[in-house]
Amino acid sequence: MSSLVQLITRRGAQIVSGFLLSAAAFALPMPTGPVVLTISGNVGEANQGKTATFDMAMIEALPQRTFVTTTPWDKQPTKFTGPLLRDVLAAAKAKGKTLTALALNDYKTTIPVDDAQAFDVIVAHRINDQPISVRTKGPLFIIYPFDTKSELKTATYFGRSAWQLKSLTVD
Amino acid sequence: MPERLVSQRHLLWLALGTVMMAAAMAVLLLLQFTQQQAIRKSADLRSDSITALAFQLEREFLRLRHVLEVNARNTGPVDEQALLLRSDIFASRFQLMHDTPSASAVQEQIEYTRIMPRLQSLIAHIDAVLQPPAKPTRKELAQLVDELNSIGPEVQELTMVATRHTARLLEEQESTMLEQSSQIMALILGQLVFLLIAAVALALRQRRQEKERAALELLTQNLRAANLAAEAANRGKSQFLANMSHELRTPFNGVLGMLTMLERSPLSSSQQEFVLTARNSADHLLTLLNDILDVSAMETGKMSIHPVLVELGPLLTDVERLMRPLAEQKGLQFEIARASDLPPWVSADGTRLKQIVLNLVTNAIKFSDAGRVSLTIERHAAAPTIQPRGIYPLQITVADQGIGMDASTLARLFERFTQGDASTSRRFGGTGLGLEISRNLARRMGGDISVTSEPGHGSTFTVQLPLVMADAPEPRVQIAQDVAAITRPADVQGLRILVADDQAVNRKYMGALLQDMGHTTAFAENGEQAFAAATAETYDLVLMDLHMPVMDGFEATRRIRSNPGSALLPVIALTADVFAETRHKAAEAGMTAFISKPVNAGILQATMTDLFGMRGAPAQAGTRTESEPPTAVNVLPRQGTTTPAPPTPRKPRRRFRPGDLETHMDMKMVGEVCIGVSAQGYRSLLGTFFQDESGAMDALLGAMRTPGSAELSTTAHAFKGAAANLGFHRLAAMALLLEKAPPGSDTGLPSPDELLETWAMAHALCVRMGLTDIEALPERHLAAPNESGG
Repeated sequence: MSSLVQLITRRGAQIVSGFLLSAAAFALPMPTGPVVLTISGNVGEANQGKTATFDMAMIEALPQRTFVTTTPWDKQPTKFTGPLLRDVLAAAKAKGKTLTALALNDYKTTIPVDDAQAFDVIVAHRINDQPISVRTKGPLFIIYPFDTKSELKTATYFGRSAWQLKSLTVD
Repeated sequence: MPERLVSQRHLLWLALGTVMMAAAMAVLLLLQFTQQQAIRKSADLRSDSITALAFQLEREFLRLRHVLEVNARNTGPVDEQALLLRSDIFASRFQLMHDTPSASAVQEQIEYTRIMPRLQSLIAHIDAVLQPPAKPTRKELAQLVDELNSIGPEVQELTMVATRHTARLLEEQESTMLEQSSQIMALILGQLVFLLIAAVALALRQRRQEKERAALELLTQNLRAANLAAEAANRGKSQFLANMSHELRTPFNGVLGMLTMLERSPLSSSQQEFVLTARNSADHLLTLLNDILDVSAMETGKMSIHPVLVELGPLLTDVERLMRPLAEQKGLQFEIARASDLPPWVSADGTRLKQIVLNLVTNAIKFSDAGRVSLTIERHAAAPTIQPRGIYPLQITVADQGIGMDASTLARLFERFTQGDASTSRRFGGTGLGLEISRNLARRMGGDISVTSEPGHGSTFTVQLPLVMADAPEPRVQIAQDVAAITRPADVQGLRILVADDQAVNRKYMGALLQDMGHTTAFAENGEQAFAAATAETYDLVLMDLHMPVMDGFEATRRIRSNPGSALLPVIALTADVFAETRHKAAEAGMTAFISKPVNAGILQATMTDLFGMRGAPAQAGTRTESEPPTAVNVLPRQGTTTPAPPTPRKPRRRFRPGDLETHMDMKMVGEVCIGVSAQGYRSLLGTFFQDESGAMDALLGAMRTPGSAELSTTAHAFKGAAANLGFHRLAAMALLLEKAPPGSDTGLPSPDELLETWAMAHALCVRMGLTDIEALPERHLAAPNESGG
């Protein structure tokens, strides 16, 4: 809720909040800020051509989840916050077997859609409660809850954890 | 000893090999572990490679430079968004290079330390130009491009360093792994070689053991064969010994019998002594023979125990009666103590039981010079209080105060042929078999013999036997006890006895013995003849040898029993067999009693007295003279199959008293005559004298029967000379009285009958001594007794 308040506060005069909320409940709204995530492929709720696009406000509008986990890239356990991947996919009504994640630096990795159901994978936009800049692997970071299951602490899942996430393609 | 060393060395090798194998395994394990670690490390390297980091840094560096160049050269508006994005991404790669743990691998390198500060300042410069609210100008962008260009080679160099580093790492790991795998291979090879050596060694050892086992097998076979041969030889010897002993008994039978006869004949005191000595030696020899027979029976397993009903009281009385004289003869005290709770009747092999006790007591007497020999018969005090029903734990203790034995002697005591030592053996004699036999017997009866002794303080032998108690038999069992006749008040006489024996010498002996006892005899040579005789004639008793040709004594007895006419005829078995089973068999065949050969006159007499009591004894029994005509001896059954009786005297045998010889004859004189004219000459003289060829006796008798005869003195003188010359000093003394008698007086003078009687006695003595063949005196001297009124 706090992020929603922030959102309203930040964008105050631009948009009628009631419209936005009702639109969000029934269909994917148009992004108003810079697009941070594009979902293409088998998308049921497109808002820009055949793709579903999200700005940071839309990401923050989805139900949030927070966990702390260790990662190979940090020396300390780190707190990650963001929507569950399955919620993001549901918002775009994306259906398929695999996701192809693409990062700003052209890093590409394939994620089975089942991972989104099997694990509480989130699309983090905050690390230690701070928004993630591009310099610190932001703005979006697919992160698995590595500490919950030992099977997750392998190169496969480390590889699927794409940072500087730019887009997802559903097949 | 060498085998042991070899086996120890083998064990050492085995231990060494095992340790080596274990060590090799451990090293292998360690190598595998380090390899695994190396693999893990390289996996880390792959997943989070410094190469990738460096490459990404360089890539973003190049992309940033490209965007900067494009914007610096373009004439349009500057794409600030794109520039910011690229610079941010580049800055993020720089940060990763700076922070990521795996980057530490190259942080020591000079290329890294040189470029990182420059990149830091470059980013600061870029930020200063690009970050809002600054507005980048083309010139500033161109400057940045130059700056990037100048630093470009070093960025590339960093990538190269990272690549080299990774390559070197991989190379190192590769070489480590190669080295380790070659080590592993060497170890495996070593193990393989060792295994092969071990296998070969095992095979060799196996083969050697096989050989040794074969050799051992052969040795065992040889030993077994040798043992069998030795056993066969030993058996042969035992058999020979048994046969010899058995064979010896038959002639020995004759010797003993004749000795008995000799004892019963009138003998001078010195002759009596000779006979006694001969008798003692013969008895001893008999004991030895019996021992040898027992031992061979033991060895051939024929010695068995046949329990019958035995009355303990008489058995012990017998022992006492036999042993007390022996002890007293040596000046020893002999004590016998019986417990009051001894069972009266037991089921036991009485003969063997007595044999044990006699052996022990005889030994005690033999090895004692003074003191006391005690025989105690009692309940075994230490025996368990709860005995099987009907078992009496008998303990017989024989203690002496004799020479005793030391420990080493005790240890060898029950072994064959062992006596105290060689010196005692010489001193005391004996076969040394007695104790072995006794112990063997005791063990066969379910008991044992033990001994305690101390040198100089005597020995104590203890026999323990579990005896089966029995009820007294209802009818008196007619099995004769070996009870000598010494205690008997009088002897049975006048029986008609059939003797069956295939040995002529035995028949002769038995005939003589029985006739001497006052019985009449008939003979049969085998069982068939005996049966025929027993059914054809009436006898009081049959003495039956067991082993005879044609039909043996068992079968003959069975037939006699099955024939109604002779079913109750007493049959006494005679045999040289001492085996209990023979007695058993004899009893089964229906024999009344059992007497072992050589036949002891006392035992025979006692057995017959047991059977007949005093029945049939003539009134004159025991008197010195027997005037009754002899009973006709009907020896020949009708079939004529029996042998004729040996010559029997017409009169029943005279009984001689000790001193008869002395009274009637001057043996010194006889000897001198024999020296003078030789024995043959003396015999001839005797023949003339007893047949009264000179008529001197006739003349004297005639003169005596003629009262007041003037011839008396001269005829008496003539007779006196003849009698005195031949050593008949009683006859001579009588004649002297007659010669010197005053004419007409006959008071105090011998009567003709007295003279004839003395003559007859002299004759009988000579016959008995074998000095004359003249069997009978002229009839005329005997036919006319008491014709004269005197």
